[in-house]
Amino acid sequence: MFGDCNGESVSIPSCWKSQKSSEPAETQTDELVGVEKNEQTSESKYIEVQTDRIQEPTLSSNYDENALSTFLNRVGQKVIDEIDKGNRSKAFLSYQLPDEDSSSEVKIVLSLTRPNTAEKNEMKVNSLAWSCTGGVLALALGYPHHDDWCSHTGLIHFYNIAYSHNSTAEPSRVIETTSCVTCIAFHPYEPSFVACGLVRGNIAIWNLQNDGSETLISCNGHNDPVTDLSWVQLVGVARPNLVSSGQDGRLLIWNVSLLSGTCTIQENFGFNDLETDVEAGISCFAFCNRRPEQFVVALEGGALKFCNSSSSKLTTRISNTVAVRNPVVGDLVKHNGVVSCVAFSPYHEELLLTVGSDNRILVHSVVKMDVMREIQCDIDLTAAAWCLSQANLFIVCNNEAGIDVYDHKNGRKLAEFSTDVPAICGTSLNLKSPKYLAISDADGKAYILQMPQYFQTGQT
Amino acid sequence: MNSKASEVEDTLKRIQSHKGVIGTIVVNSEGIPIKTTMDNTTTVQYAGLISQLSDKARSVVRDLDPTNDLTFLRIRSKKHEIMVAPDREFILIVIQNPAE
Repeated sequence: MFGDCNGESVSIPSCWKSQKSSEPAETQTDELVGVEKNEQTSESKYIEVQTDRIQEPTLSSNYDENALSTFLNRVGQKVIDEIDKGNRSKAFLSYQLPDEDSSSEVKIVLSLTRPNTAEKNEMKVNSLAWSCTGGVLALALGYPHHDDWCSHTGLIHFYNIAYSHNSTAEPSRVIETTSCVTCIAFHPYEPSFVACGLVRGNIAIWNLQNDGSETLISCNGHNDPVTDLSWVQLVGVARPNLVSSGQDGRLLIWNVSLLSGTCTIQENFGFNDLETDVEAGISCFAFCNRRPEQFVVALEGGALKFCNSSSSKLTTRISNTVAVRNPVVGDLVKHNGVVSCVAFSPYHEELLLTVGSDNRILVHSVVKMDVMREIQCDIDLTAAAWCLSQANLFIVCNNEAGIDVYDHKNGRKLAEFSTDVPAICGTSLNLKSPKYLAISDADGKAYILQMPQYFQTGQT
Repeated sequence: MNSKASEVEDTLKRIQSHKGVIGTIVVNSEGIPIKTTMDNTTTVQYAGLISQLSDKARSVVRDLDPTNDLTFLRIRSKKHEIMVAPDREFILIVIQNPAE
């Protein structure tokens, strides 16, 4: 039942291991062709234009037809005759329009040189003035700082513009003064008389027809440096008076007789309340052109006092036998700094232009006692002047050598010029030919600029 | 339109059609235009400014001699010639291109 048995071997081929063979094969894919295409989306804009409605002339119908008819009948034929006459006229045939300088830039026409002396090169131009004929420019020279009594010799240089044909001019006349000169003013109609204010507080008047440096008149009035000087034609007075202001806070009106060579104090104005011992000095002043009894004084610290010489109150203080009077009528809006310029408009008697070291330009109305226009600048302003050729414009110079022209009506800056000068310190417009502006710079040099006279103001 | 009104228009047309004339304006004593051949802005400007000037000129003439009066004013400029005939009630302004 049981026996050995050898089972036949059965081989079962493994099926989990099989040799894998691989062989490289290549396939060629179809070539992909890319095509670039730009597509532009279309953009559309809608613009609307509103045309102005045509305004029919607004004509008044409030008139008498008969009267108009008679008027036109009377005048119409005459006008037509005039037109015919004008068309036939040869009056303007050979008439040439005056040469209008159409250049719209400022150029230096004359550099004013000084005789080269080393110690005098530090002197600065403190003041510039044109003579009444517009032919002579005077520069008042002095040292800028005084810690003590002024022991310098001041200088006044006169340049005759008419005789200079080059681009530089030497002084035609030099006058030496006893101390530094702070301000200078030519007589309004006697071209040979010039008045100067000095650092020591005295005032000197020269007659340029005489040679040499001898003064015609010299007088003492201020206890401190004279700050501003001007000839003013007061009402009811035959000849112009000299007006001077000083750092001692006094405004003196001098009665000057050029013939006899005398100069006496006529009025002595003080501007401070008597309670305070320290009087603020006057930095500059301006008299109204048409109503010279009205004037404005700028005190140190920027206060602007509107004064009337006829309504001045007598104060008790007596000095130099002339009673000190206080003419202040009211205060104008003050500057927060030193006022460098006050000027009444030559055309609008109530308008006053002031410029201060707070970089503000103010146009005041002395009637409304308020500011009509305020312009704030971001650079230091050094000088200003009303434009003589256009009533509403004024010129302001800054210490970055720029000259700007503004319209006081709308406060717009109409023009902006730049010069090659380091920084403009003082200006003076030639009254006879207003295109010439004399300027002095921070280095103590002086130039005469030619500038355009007319500016586009546009519609107001 | 009555006969007076057409007469006025006729006279104005006659002036306007004249050689060189570019505009005719009639202004009343208050400076308000009552007849014009120019556009509104120009008319208003001319009316206001010229009537002021004509008033000023008249007062100058009368200040110089109180028995005198202004009868005619001509302003010649580079571009135009303006003729002004002033009267108590009206001012006639004719703007013309100056003869070449």
